[in-house]
Amino acid sequence: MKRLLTLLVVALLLSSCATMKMSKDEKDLYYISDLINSGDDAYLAKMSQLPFLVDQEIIVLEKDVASFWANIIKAGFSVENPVLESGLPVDETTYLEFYDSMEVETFFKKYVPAKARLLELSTGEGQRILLVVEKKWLSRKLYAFKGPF
Amino acid sequence: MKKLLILMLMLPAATGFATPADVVYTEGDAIIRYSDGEEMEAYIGDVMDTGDTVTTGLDGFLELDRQGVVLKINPETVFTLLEREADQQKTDVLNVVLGSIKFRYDRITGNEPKIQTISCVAGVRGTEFTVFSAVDGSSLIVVDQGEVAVEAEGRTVALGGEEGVEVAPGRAPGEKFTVKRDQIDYSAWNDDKLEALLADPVGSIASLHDRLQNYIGEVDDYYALFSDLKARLDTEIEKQKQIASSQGEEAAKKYFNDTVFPLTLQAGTSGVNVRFFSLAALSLRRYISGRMYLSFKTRYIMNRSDAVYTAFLERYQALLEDFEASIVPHLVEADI
Repeated sequence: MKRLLTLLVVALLLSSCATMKMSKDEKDLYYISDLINSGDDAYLAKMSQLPFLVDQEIIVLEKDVASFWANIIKAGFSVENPVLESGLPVDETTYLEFYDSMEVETFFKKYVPAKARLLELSTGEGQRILLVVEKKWLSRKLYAFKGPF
Repeated sequence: MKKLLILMLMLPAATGFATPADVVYTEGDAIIRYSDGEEMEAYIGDVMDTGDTVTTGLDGFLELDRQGVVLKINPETVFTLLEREADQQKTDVLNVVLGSIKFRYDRITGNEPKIQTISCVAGVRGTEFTVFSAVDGSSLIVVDQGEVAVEAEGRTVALGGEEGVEVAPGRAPGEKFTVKRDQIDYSAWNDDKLEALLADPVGSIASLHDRLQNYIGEVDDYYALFSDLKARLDTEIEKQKQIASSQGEEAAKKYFNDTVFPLTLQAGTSGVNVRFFSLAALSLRRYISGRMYLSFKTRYIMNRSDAVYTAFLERYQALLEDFEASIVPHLVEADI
């Protein structure tokens, strides 16, 4: 019985260590970075919700979202050695991280769900990028992108 | 008071004040964004009203019937129904923001709506013509049959059948040219505009900024007029109350008909124009300058310190600040 209990405790510890290795935010971050680095603009466009925010611009046309991902990848943009700086739930002040305007504030209020998270990442080249992501079961939805800055 | 003005002006639209347009055919990706902010896939039988916008995707096509005018809205087009006041009369405005639309009139009544793009306004006396609106805000108007008067920056060009004219944003119409029916390759023309735009980032954003400042000037003028009329109206309503108590209801009614009611109409029509120019500025911001920003951001993303790009961003920032300071106060969340 004592041995069984010990095994159970060890198993629990190991499983908790496994989850501590990488947070959900980190998983989202690496997943999206991999898509950018592997040049999968089609999947990035599919993940991106409409309207989609880039910096301070609200993109409403599907074609423009697809062009955005295709063109930054074509230009050679990649996210080298990404590190998660912070992962926070979106709130009524998140829009200020993007741009202080009524349009961007309204975008977050109307189109970004409460469960979405603001991820801030830094790259090996010292740049920063913001992503607004919502994880839903086995899929992810992308609402906004800012950077690099 | 600005938000109150907007709510007052949104009410007539919601109750179908202007001539509505019925969706009579649709295929592929076609979305209607209603003036209350709700978005729905377009279906045959849907009705579009003032302030509503239709957007067609790559494979989208939509046909509208607006009491004697048929509008064939081609793929990758953004179109808004607006309303403004001119010469003491409300006029519907068919706003071709981006893409191309073919108009066909079954009859000319003399009270046709204006056709507007970012760069020009067309007065219709024709029966069949197409309006193209390019990525940089340029417009191309081509007439198959009848007459269309194209006006921009104080100059008007009258087009007859098989004639066309191009108008760059912030410029007067160019020279008219002869064109055979359906001979315009819109896609190639739009690509040329995109190429020219990318070749001159600062010039392109400067001409759009000028256009925005024109809209801001109109908004400021009409809003000042509206505020003045509203203040006078408040005073006259008080006077009407005093007349009612000192001279009776009959005298008050006469005062209302002679003084208060005409002022109410004037305030209402100047308010319509505030809303019209604010929404036109929002279209420019969303579909022309915003897309321009994306084009340059993606082009210079690996070379952000480039002098041309930083000059572009500087001018762009000025445009954003003007928009926020002068247009946003006249918008509501439903517009976003």
